[in-house]
Amino acid sequence: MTRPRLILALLPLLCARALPAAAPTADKFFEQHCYDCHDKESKKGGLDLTELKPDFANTASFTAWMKVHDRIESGEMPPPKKKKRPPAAESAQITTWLDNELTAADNLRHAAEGRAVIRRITRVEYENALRDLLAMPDLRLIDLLPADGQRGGYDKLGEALDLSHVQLAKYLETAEYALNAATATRPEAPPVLKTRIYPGSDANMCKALGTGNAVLLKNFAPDPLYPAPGKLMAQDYIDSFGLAKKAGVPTSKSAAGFFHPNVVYLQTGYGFAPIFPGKYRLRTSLWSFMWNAGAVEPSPKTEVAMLYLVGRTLGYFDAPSLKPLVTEITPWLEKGDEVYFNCASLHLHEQQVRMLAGGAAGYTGPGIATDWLDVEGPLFDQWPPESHHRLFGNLPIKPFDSASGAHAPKRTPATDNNNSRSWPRMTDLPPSESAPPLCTVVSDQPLEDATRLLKTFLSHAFRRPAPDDEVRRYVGLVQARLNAKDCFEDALNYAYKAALTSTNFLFRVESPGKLDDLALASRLSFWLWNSVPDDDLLALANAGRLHQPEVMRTQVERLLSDPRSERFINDFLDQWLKLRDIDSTDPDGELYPEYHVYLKDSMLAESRAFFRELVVKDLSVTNVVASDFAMMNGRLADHYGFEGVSGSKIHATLLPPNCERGGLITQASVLKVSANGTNTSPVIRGVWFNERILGLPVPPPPPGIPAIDPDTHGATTVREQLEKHRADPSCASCHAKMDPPGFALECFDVIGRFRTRYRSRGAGVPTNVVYPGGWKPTYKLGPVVDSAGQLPDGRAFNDIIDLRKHLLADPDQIARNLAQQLLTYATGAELSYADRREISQLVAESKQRKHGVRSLIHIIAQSSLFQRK
Amino acid sequence: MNAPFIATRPCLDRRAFLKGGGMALALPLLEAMSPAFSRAAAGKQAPKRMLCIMTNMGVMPRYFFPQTAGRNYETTPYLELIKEHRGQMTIFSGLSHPGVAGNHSSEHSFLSCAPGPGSSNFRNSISIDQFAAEQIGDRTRFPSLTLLVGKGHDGYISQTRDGVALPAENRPSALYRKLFVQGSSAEIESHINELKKGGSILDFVHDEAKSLQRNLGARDKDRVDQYFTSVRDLEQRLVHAEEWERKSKPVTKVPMPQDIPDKTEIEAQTKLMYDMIRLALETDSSRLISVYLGPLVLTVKVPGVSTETHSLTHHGNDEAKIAELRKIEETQFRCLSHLLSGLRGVKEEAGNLLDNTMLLYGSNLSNANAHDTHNLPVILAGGGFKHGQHVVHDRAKNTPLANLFVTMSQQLGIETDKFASSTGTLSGLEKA
Repeated sequence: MTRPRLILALLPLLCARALPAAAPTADKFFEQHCYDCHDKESKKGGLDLTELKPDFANTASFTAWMKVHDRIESGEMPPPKKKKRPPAAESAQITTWLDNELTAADNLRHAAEGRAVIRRITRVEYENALRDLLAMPDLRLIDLLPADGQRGGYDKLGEALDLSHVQLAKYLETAEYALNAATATRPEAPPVLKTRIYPGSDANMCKALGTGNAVLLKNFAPDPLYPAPGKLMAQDYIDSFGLAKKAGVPTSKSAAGFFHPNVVYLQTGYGFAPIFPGKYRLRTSLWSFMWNAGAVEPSPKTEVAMLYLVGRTLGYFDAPSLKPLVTEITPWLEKGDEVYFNCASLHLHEQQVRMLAGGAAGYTGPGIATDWLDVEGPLFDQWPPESHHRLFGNLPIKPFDSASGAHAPKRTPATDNNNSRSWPRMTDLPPSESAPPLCTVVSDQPLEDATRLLKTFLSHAFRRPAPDDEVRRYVGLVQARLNAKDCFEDALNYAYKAALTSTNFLFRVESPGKLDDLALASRLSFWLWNSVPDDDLLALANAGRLHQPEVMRTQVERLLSDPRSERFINDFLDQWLKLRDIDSTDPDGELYPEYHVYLKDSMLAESRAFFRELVVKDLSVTNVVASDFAMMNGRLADHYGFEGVSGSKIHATLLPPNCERGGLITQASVLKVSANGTNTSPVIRGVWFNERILGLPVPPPPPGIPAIDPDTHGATTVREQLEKHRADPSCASCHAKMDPPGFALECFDVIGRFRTRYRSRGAGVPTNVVYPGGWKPTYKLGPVVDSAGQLPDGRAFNDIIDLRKHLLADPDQIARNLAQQLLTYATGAELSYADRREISQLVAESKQRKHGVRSLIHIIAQSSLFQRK
Repeated sequence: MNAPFIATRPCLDRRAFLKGGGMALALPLLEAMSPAFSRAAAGKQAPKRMLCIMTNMGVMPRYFFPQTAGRNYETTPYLELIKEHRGQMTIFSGLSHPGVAGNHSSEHSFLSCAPGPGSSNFRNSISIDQFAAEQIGDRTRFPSLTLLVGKGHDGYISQTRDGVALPAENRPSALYRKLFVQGSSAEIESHINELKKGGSILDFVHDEAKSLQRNLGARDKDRVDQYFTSVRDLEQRLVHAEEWERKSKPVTKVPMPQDIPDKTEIEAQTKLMYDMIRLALETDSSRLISVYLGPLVLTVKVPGVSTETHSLTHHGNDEAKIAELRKIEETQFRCLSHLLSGLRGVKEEAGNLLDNTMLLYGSNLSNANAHDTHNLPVILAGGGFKHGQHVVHDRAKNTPLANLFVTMSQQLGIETDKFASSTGTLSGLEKA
């Protein structure tokens, strides 16, 4: 067993060398203080120090030494309980030696290979890149591609972004899908149709009316044409459309008021589904009311309705009391996308109104009325659309010349949608649409045109100028397809498809050392836009100016101010805080009857708006753990127990002092993703908090530890069950670090509501909560929540407010963590040992700038960690 | 599904199907279908197949595992539902994957046995079905089929050698179309043309990528090599697909099934998919099939069930929830019985389809309330083993489930004595 000589180890370490020779000092230290537990026999924590070679080039021993360093430095080792502790100076000698060795070894590796590894783009980046390349901001491709591998919650890391024939096959398919969608197949835009749809004209709406899950309204009163039914007759449900028709509901132009946001038994559409994909203007008139056993009265507040497609929310719309509000959106719709209505903000009760004793006639509760939906589309800013222009320039679209001998391009003819009751039908279109001529883009000099168009496309897709010989090779593909009798459109799209399947598009390639300006442009845009660089960035990079600090600063400002930065904020929060897991559990309906998609969407909107506020206003990173404001809409204000906010829009609102809310960490979104649908665990939340907020990695549980068998009877709490486990000294050391933040967060339930008692399905006292409409929850109030705990350093807290004060004592820790999370995301590489020194400098710099989040982004963009591979 | 193809996807196909044709009736059509497909070449030995089914919701141990071992094991509420197949199956206790702990991510390791699925630097490895597909997949039109019923957590259990998940097909109609719907000769030519074009693109991008290979560090080289491997793998698959494209598809009298758009109709959904699987196996369209049953995050339409499945699995030992959960699990076992009966109803040389199909049924979780990944519920039916018993391994120190995978691989004719975490073949299971 040899040991490095400290004196030698402390010399500047510049180049690779043989293993350092013996170091009596280090040897002596380990022998005196460590071998007792960490030798061949005891091997505590799996570490045998006598066998650990000072071979820092070896990954396994590097990692082991890093742990040794960190444990000694933190004072955790040798254990404080030990009688004979080494003098601080001796420990410092060891940690200094290790620090130098580890840093040197890491730097060597970075110099040779870089921190980051070549990686393929993620599917989110792929979608954004094609949206930008094709000028199709609404193109949806993510679901066509397999999920990406992850490491540490991030899918941007090269090491985890594996590639197989599965992805490659999907890339070919997806590129074809996107190119088809981008290509215009007719000289003129599809006909624009416009109509007003009244709720009574839709069969499903009529069903809701006929059964009493909705009521027909006219002039803010019940419409005598079709009175609200009393007791439900079994036959009603089946016959309701027929009955409504007979009564004249479809032609009544009356409004319909709804009581249920439950989409399982009440999926109510307007009977609109487009034949042509495109942008559609949807305007709707909404208001809310209080239904008092047959009378329409003012609603106590502005309610909110949702328009949606299956699996996708289009938007939320305010419905003020008895005062119709007309709102408009222009979403992109695909063929057959049916637009549905949902009274999102109403309470999601178990029972349908139609099942109640008095039916709708006897019901008292809030409702949302829809007067009509105006539909207009498809709308295009220009024709052919910009997407087509990006692929085919200004070449004309003409009838296909079948005499040319070329194969006609494939076309999917416009057809009626499956739902035969939906509007429009093919017969609503001009007669010429029944058999439109087969048209395609035409070129008189195909190879010249292809060369010109490919040169531009490749330069954008590959994020660098496309050299002529490269363009020629792609034109060769076009030529080959033309020779095989493809038409020009197919031949050129074939070359584009090849480009989108090549490593030049799919891979982010960087060379070790300082990044050149083009690589820097990509790093910047894939970070702050999650996509390819635009013309301005590429121009600066081509001019060799991007790396200049002032230019870089201006570009960071520009990118952050662009709407595309929304993609960064959403995607970064999804990965950093794991918000993308928000749907992986569905809260127990009996315990958490408040949960609904509107609440969930509000939760996500809150966190995104909050982080954006930090970026836009350059607010301090300490807002992550404590803020004097919150970004709330009416639903969240209700949820959190605040007054004075209503409607669906998110507003910045000042919080009262000494309030349990404030900071990202008390937002419902993160409280939901750190819990399962039924209960919270201080361990799970504690791990989430340590890793995501404090930047302290938590080792995985040792094998063979049985999981807790949670109980929702109200007999025991997870915390009580944990106590036994924590009492075991071998478990206690880790749990003492892991659990405390989780204890403080116990005052929030799985949907982020504040609680003082756990909800129970068994034992407990009934609650006096009554939801609007007179609905009473069935859960009981069980055991009292205990939020107290003690940080590993001994500081005690009673609740989240105390914990927050402790955390605020060290803003640098919060800044360090955010810097690390941002760097991991931005560079696609986990942070390594040698990065610590520079991160400390970044944190110091950040402190000078009051730890502002926008400033931190600038500091990172200027750092050599960001600007080197 | 790993059907290698370069589709010329009609622009809106994906979305169009989602909207479906409104509510489809869950036709009991398959009972009325044609009798078994007879293997063309008489006297030829029937091939061995492997069908792996995983439910991601766990199986409540108290209703599943018998207390006694051996042939005379007492029945349990769940086994009672498949009792008519008792002689055709073996129940296992005491199996699990070493190092596969905690929560739902363990599903990604169910067929790969890869340790640490919940850890931040988890890397998956090849699943047993894909391992087998690498060896024997070229013998059928589809090297393997990966299918999904319900809504997955992430919805996959089959991975390639690089740990990349294979997308799963959840539409019985699409599966049927792939298996049986023969295009016109013009369509076939056009499809072959598309395959060839796909092949040419691969040739091209392969050459374009060569310049990348220069001066790369080891880690970068590893990434770029994956691209080249992917290109080669996909090329082989395109060639394979082209060969099969020229052969006519098997004929069936069974009409095209109508998909059931409502994912919460799990009994009808599952049975319909199981019927398609039976058709795929009996026509020898594929010999390797994996199925992911994902009832979590759904409030399923099962009488007596009104709560979302995932929250039921976290029943907190609440008897009312347990009773609801039991109804869902019973439904799954009823579906399994339907599948077993279906497979046994197809006659083949020296027995029936089940005799030639190893059907592995299990879950990545045992007691899902605790996210317990030990003592997994595992059944092996058919495939030419001596069945009819409850084989008990150590419940405290489990035997790797991978050992069963080795035994199954060998039964497929693959020469191997190791798969992932295996320590040998599985003791207590003998060939018939």
